This record gives sequence, structure tokens and C-alpha cells, in this order.
Amino acid sequence: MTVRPAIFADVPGLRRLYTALVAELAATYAVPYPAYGPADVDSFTLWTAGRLEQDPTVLVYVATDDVTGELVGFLGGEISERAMGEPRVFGAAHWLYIVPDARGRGLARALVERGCADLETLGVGHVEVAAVAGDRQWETRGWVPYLVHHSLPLAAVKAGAAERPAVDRPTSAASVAPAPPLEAVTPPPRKRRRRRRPAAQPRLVQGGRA
Amino acid sequence: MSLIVRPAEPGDRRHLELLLAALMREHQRNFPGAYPVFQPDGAAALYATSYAARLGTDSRLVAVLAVDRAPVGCLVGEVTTRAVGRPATVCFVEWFYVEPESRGLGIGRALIRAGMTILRTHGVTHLECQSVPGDRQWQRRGWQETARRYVAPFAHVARWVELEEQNDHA
Repeated sequence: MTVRPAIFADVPGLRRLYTALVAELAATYAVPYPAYGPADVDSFTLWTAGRLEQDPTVLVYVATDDVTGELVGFLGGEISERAMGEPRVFGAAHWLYIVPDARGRGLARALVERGCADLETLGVGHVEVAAVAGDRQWETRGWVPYLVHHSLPLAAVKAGAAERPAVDRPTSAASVAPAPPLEAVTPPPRKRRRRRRPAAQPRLVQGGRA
Repeated sequence: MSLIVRPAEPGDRRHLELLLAALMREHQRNFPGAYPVFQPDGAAALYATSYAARLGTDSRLVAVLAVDRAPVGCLVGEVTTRAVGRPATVCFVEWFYVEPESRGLGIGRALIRAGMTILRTHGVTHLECQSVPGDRQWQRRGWQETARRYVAPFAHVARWVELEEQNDHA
């Protein structure tokens, strides 16, 4: 087996591997979101065809069978830069896949080693990956989860936002003002009411105006 | 004094900066180990400046403010289109914040409703957001976890590869 950077001629093979990766993910995990279909394979193909050997921030490596020359695995990602926050520059790994028949031979590690060598040359100090919900393989390898991605259909957002009345009237400044100390609160004056029962004892009211 | 919820305008740069800085400071207090690391004031100034430059001209930036004499809350999102996967076009909520003193008044919901009014013009069907792993508020509100992002220092990745190789040869 050989591990090397991908070239434009690998695009058809990468398309085949990506299709297998998506199919295996769908069969292994309940991946409800986002959904992948045939059109997405085309989008992936366009992405690789348009950026391989053109965009220096794109890092894609392939593992090939020395006998048949076929691609049996790939690692794809890019060097990303966030607007703010440290580390500013990081390696973002998007895809790592080895066909089932070629597993257990250290190909994934060889791909990662090759990618790491290039990242080290470029001075990149951190690598980030995203895993579908339920896939904990990276945690078992010591990677630290730092963000959880959530989604909600707009209709559900709308229902949640409408379930209780929002503030659509003028609000009183007193309602959000800090409460004065208890000593400063004057008990409300007793109202004269005609009751047969004795009136309840006045209570200290905290918070000033209601 | 009235609470007004309205789309943010280029002149709201300072309002956005104050709110984003407050959000980041509160977030860092609650989750001190969060990654990546932000310097709140600098980051808020940069984000607010970049948003102000786009407000009014870039319809994919959705920014709503709640103002009650001073700004008390904001919602900032981006309508993005992913290369692969459906739905392709979604709104990613970058920032959502209501000042502590103004919470419990429905201001957050008012911000969301105002944001959704803008989003209707984009044909967006889903909202997305991210939180740190220990922050369960979105799951409590019915949001579904779709992915987790992991990070490892480069040295850790290299060591992990070496360790697994050693295990194979053991």
C-alpha cells in the first residue's frame, strides 16, 4: 500500500470512497441531520475537482493498493483560520475512510501521519474533527470535545418562541432594578377594611415598586 | 421606558460590541476551559466592526437588537449554504444573549421571533447553533444534537498514532 497526496486524477476514486463512507455512516449511525443524497456526492466531487492541486489550504491524502492501483482509503481536510480565538490557525479534518477489506493494516494511521507531517511543516499546532452524534471514537482516543452542534426545524423554533407571551409592552425600570436593602423598606400602610377577622400582620415587601 | 426589538443597523456597532463582550465574559466565567480561547473585549470589537460593515448590505447576516434605554439583548446569525448535505441553506446562530438583569421577561423569545421574520425571506427551514459540551440548555429546549467537534494538540495526534502502532506490534 502507498500513501500519498491526492491529485486531480484521483477525483473519480475519491468520489467512490466518499459514496462508500456516506453509505456506511448512514448504516452505522442514525444520522438524521444533515441528510446526504446523490446530489451531495456530486457536490463533493466538485469540491475536490475544484480545489485539489489548486488550493494550498486543502489537504487530501489517499492510500492506494500497490497491485491494482485502486484507492482504498483517504483523509481529507483543510487548513482553516478563525476570525478570532486561539489557536487561530488549525487543521480541520473532514473525512477519514478506509474500505472494509483494507482495514487493520495501519492505513488510517499512515494517512494521519502523512497529514501531520505536512501540518507540522506549516506550523499548525491543533487538529479539529467533527463526529456525528453518537460516534464517540475520538473521545476514546483522548480527543477533547469542545463544541456540540445542535439543530432545530424552524417550525419548532417558532412554536417555542410563541408558547408564552413575549415582552411587547413597555416594561418598568423598577422591575429590573436591584432591590433596596430591607432596612430601607417601609412597610405598607395598613388599609382600613371592614373585616370581622383581624387583619393579617403587615409583611416587609422587598423590591420597591411592583 | 419601552423595550424595542428591531433589526440592528450599522450605527449599532457599539451596542453589539458591548453585548458580545458581556456574552463572552459570562461564557468564560461559566465555562473557563472552553476552546478556542477568546479575549472578550478584542473579539467583541472585531466581530461588531465586521457586522456593522455588513449590516444593511449583506442580507445573509441576521442581527436583531433588544434595546431598553440601553441595549439588553441581541441575536446574530448567518444564513449559510453547506457544500454537501441537506438542508443546504440554514441559519447558523452565532450569538444569542440577554443581559442577566433583563432575563425572564421574554426578551429572548422576542429576539427569536424578530429574527425569524427576517429569515422567512431566505427560505431557511432549520436553525443551527453550537454550545460547549457541558451546556445542556439547547437539549432541554428540544434541539437535537447532530455532531460533536473534537480537538487535539498536534503533538497528541502524533503520539496517538505512534502508540497505536506500538500496540499493533506488541
